[in-house]
Amino acid sequence: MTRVVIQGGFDLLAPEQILHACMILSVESDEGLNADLISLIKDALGCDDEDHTAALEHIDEHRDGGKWGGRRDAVLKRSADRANEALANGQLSDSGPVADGLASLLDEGDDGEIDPFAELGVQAGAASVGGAADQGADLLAAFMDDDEEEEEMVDSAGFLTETIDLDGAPTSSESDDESEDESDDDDSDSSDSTEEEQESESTHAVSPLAAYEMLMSTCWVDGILDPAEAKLLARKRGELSISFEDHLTLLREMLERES
Amino acid sequence: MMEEHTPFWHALELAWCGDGALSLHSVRLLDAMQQMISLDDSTRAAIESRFEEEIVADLTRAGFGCGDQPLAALVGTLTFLDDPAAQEVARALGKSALLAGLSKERWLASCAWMDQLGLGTPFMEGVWLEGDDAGELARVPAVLVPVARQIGLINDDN
Repeated sequence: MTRVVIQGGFDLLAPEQILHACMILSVESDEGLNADLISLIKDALGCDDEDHTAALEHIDEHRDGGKWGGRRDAVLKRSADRANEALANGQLSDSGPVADGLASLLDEGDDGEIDPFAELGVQAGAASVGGAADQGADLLAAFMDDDEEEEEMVDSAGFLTETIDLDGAPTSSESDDESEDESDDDDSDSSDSTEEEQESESTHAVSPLAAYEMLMSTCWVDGILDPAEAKLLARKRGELSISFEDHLTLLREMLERES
Repeated sequence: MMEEHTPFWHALELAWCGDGALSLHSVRLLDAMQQMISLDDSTRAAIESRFEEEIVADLTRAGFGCGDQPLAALVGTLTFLDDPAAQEVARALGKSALLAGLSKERWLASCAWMDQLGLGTPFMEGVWLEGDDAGELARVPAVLVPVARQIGLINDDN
């Protein structure tokens, strides 16, 4: 990583790296690229149009529709780290419109961070026990437990039987009951609710192979495959009826993409 | 490509790199090895071509091919492939690799080695905990020592 060494032994991220990181965060935000904010950041960092264009081209080349070659979480985390570092060491002002805009992006990144297990409905063990607050609390629990409860939360295709909305809050049977109650009063509300549920379900309509592939893409996220990850994947192969040959094919393709 | 992590590449290193010369005995041993691991001619040709380009071209001859001795020892270890327990040992090696912590690079390199010996599938099954639980790896057969070293199961001390 290119860093700018300054007197006193500290080293700083290069301005174009910070700009690049901020652009990634902005592109991946719900609103998409915020040209005004990026322009402010570019000026604050002293970057020129060439830096901006280069960063944009790099993003276009590697974004892969938001999947970043299966490394979305790592890319977003690194970008957030760089933005935070720039704010912390004064390369970007920690107050004013730039700071506010970045804070919004970083907050969004925290709240909207995609958990592939919850997204795909293959992380039922941890999520099923305690509701929304617990769902994101300990992702490692998904690797660690073999609770039978998990099986109850996952249907034969390997997806959560309990729908989870985009904020991570479960659309529990209780809330279903509420919507049923409301339907007695207002049919139009009910149809809206149904459409929303269908939309939510379609968001999670991922084929078992695609779901498994996304799950597998996390297994080397720290550079080392560990037994808990292998165990989880082995269990999912069984649940999703994915053959070992398919697993090896997906793995080979994933590694080729990354190389 | 992963040719440099295969047993045949290792054999070429043994044959050539001792003194920068390849003896007729080594040539015959390489032929015997090709038969024993059922390596097809085109794959052997690809490996040897790359080896000659990348390694042999930079060697300086200093003898008459003394590499035939360690090569003969390697070829001798290939009898392990006829052992009925070879598949189980490969599975156990895979599981041991997983328990030791396996990086992508080590995964690819170890698969290349095991694949060429015809033990790729049981090794991969061991790594990914596929099928029946693999047993413990009691000891590492000589032919698998290089790959065991590569994946960090053994080092020069043990």
